[in-house]
Amino acid sequence: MVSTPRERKWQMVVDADRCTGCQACVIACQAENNIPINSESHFQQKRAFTWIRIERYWEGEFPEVKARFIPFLCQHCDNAPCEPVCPVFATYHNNEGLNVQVYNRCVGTRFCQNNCPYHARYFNFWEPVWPETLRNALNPDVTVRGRGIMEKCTFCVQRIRRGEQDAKREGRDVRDGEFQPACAQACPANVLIFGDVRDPQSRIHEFLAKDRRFRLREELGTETNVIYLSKLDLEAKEVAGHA
Amino acid sequence: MHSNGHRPAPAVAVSEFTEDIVGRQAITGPRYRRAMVILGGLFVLGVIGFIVRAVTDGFDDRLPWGYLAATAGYLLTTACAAPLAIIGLRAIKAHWRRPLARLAELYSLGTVVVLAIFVPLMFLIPSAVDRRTMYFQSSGTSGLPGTLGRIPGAPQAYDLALLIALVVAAIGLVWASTRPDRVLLGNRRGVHRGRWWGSIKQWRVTTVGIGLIGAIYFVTLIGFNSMYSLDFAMALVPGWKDAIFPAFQGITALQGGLATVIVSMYVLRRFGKMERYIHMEHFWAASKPLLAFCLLWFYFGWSTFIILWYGRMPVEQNVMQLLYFGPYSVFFYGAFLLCFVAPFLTLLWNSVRKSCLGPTVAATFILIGNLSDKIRLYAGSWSVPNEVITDHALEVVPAARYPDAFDIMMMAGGIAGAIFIVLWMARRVSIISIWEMSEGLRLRVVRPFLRTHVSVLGKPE
Amino acid sequence: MQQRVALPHPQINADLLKNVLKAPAWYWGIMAFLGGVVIFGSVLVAYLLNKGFGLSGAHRPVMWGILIVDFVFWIGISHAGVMLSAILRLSKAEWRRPATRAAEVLTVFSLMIAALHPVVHAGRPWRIIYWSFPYDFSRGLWVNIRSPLVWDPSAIFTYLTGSTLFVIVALIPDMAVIRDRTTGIRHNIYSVMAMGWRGTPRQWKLQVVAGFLLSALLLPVFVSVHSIVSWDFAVMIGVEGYHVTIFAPYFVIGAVLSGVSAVVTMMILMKWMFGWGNYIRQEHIENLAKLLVVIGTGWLYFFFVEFIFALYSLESQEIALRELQAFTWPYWPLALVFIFLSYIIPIPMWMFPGVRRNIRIMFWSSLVVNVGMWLERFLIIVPGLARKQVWTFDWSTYHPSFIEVMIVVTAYALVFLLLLTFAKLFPLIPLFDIKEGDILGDEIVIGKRRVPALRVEE
Repeated sequence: MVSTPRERKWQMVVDADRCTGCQACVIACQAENNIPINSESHFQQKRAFTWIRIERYWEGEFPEVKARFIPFLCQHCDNAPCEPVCPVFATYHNNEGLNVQVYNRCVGTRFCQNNCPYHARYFNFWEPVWPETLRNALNPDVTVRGRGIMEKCTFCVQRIRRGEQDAKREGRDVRDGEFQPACAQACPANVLIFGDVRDPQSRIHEFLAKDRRFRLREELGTETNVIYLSKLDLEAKEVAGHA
Repeated sequence: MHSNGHRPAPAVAVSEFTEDIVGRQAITGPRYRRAMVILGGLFVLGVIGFIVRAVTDGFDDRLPWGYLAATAGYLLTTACAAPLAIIGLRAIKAHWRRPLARLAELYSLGTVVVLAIFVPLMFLIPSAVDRRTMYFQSSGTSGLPGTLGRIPGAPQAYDLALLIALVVAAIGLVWASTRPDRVLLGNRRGVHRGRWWGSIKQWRVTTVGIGLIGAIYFVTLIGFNSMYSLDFAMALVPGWKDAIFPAFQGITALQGGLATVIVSMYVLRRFGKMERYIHMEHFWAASKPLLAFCLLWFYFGWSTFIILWYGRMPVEQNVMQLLYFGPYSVFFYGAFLLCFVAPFLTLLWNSVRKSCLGPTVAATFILIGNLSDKIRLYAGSWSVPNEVITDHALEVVPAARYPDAFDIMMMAGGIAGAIFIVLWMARRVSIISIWEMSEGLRLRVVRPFLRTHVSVLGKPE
Repeated sequence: MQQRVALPHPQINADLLKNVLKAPAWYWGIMAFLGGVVIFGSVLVAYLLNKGFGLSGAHRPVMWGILIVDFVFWIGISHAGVMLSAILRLSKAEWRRPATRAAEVLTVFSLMIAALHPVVHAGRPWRIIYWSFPYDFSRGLWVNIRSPLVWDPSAIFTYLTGSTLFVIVALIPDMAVIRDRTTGIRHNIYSVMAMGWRGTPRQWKLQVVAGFLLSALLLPVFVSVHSIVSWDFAVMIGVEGYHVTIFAPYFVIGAVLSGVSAVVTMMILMKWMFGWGNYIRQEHIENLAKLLVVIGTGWLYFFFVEFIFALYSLESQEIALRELQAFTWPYWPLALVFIFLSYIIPIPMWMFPGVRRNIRIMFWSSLVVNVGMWLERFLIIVPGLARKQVWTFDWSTYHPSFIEVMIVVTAYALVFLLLLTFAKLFPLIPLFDIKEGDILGDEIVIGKRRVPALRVEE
């Protein structure tokens, strides 16, 4: 275990107001995390992998209807419904606020997926295959998952670990913004802000303080670590949120 | 077969039994009079308590009436539920029910006391519109999905209708099952009344009728318990959504009803001098289902608990505080100890079950625990103020309200009232059913078998 | 009313051991057919394991398909055995005698088959060793005891062990009878299984005590098994309509309804197949039917309360789920079939003595209850998962794949195969129990009537 000089707690703010629905985060995540190629048939079978996905929803009644976008990923709940139901501890909570999936332990009961109120978990129905040309494009830091197991967003834990090790080698604390998940890095509109909330200087605090903040399905008491900022709507003065 | 050397109780001749009971019916003992005076006094005290409460607190706030609601819940699951045991045993043709049948059935008249308590309580329940009830209606302005439109009188009118049906069924049950005995006792006094003389057809109509009314009583009582627990407890607490709760109250009714029968049976044997007809075997037989009901009490309670606890939803955590570990935790622990732990641990032992006192003690535990349970549930839910009743979650757990003198007077009065009715009826008709016992005595003979004696029970279809 | 015929004991032995000592030709025909189905199904399971669970119809968000439905169904069937044997034994109901063995054996086999379903259904079945078998102490890989999927195997294996013991204890006296009527290798095998049974008073006493103890101990286990299966669903907060406190007793009573119906079906089949009209009489079927009326009505109460509480929540999500289950294609025809088959048709019918005494009608009506109960489990599990919820953006229907359907069919064939195998090796009606019933039977005379009576220890 890497001994950490102070406790960290990673959170992400998703500013829905800025999201344009460009899907750059989806592609970045796909590339970073060795996610199998989602073919058309995967989508038709409803077995596609999208650790982060842009969901489109409609707001208002026709003709006053607006398309809205919201990036959707594992919410890394502090009180995660998926964790207690796993019989083999394949998913558990680490001390940095991350909801971690241990692929080796997973037996594929899919109980966690059923109990996830956000449907943020993905099951490997098939052995993943990549075209020959992409074999060398796989990220060596990330495990390639086999069939029969669950996977989901990790907040790019490999980047967190690498950043921590770099900091440790250099004998310093990790700096805010030194590393961030692939999706946040790729986002052109700065929708996704990632940071350590235990670090008082962290940029994320600026966003966490906004009164537009909300969590998805707060009534379940899941205490998510992904915080949304609702859409500003100057015309309707309506905020996205509790649909 | 009888390795312990136990021999079956000797057979009693039917005529001997009948003469004994008819003879007892003719005299009124001093003990009986004393009991009637005490019970009547308690009942009057209860009425006084009620009047004082009504004058001082009025009917605007629900909080001061919580213990009266608990009393009604208690009577519904003890006295009124006592006949359930007998109805069930009669349906499976168990012979050992016979000496207890009348006693248990007279308890059904406790529904009259419940009715008397229910009528004033009824006015304390707010309308069912725009809050969670089983009537599923909204005014259309609250944004809640409600489709049934306005149901006039919900929830009280329907509860009242079912309760009146229950009282009618209770009276019908007592009337039908005492009929042969009333005719017999009337004949002995030289009063020949009515058109019932015991032809085969009349007997058949009577027994089928008792079975039918019994089934109706059973279903109505469970139904009313469900509705009462829903409308008078659960629907008053926002955020408390617990589908098993009506069934849990049903289980406490089966448990409490059987416990009532056992305790009354002991009193009847000991103070009513019925040792010849009520034996250890009756306690032994009754203790087995009682043990099962203790386990079921735990099982139904646990089914609620584990779901609320496991879900960890904020809405449910506050409800759990109110029901289990919060202000009324004393009553919860009391109920848990006395409805499950204590009777279970005592009844587990065959030597305890196989005695007259053992099951009685366990049943007494249950009767006290049941009261504690009802206080936790009813006083707890009645302490939630009216202002929050349409909310979706209980934000603030209300503080406990412990009973004052008038609450205790009302509780004692209600319970005494139910027993008073049974004792009063016992003078009108015999406390042991003469016809049902005679039937049983005819169907049982003691015969030698191999090297021992066994009782042989007739099982006519 | 068919009266009890007092048969001489050699006659009882000959009748009930008919199939054990010499099986008829049709028996082997059926065995061959069922064996073929099972082999075909096993090949499909092997194919599924080889290729991956993608061969099933499951997808997001319906992650649990008909294999889990079938798991719950077979667990339900397995509740008949102990329910009947233990409760009727403890309450000393005389009419239990021909039903107990069949019910217990049905318990054991359906439980075994049920336990296979979640294994086949998992993503990596070979890894399940982590959570259903002795744990990996050396590497400190503990199971998560908070998960209902860890409670499940412990409950199921406790129940399986207990009910197997139950069957064995009741088999010992009959083993001795077979031992005395066979020769050669079979004689030796049955000798071992009879465990030195000589029928001494001490042995009888121990056998009776063991039967009672197991009955009393198995009753709480039987309740716990299906409760835990229900908690697989009820502990979830992520699925609308699952987080219901009534699930445990509702599942248990539903299980008892389907299990006892299955016992009725099975007893009638036994009567027809082996010609045991003298042992499985109208009164047995009739009493079971009466019991079913009570159980069914109790089940209806729970069903009604469960449904009312979905509306009670006044949450649009929950209400929409009920709408999906009851009024939306493709579920509404299933819902209609379910409620008609499992309650509205059979239960009121069984209130009439004429129906209860008609074996043919009883066979079909008890069979349809189980069709209905299977659909009940389907309607609880699948629409709940399929329906979109707030912020999930998933909405889909579920169609089982051919392979899933075939595995379900194979499970049925396997249970029948195991039951028939049992019928070849052991008597399906306990000989000693029937004889005991004869010995305890008596008659008393009241006036001009002779009333059948029973010698009791009281």
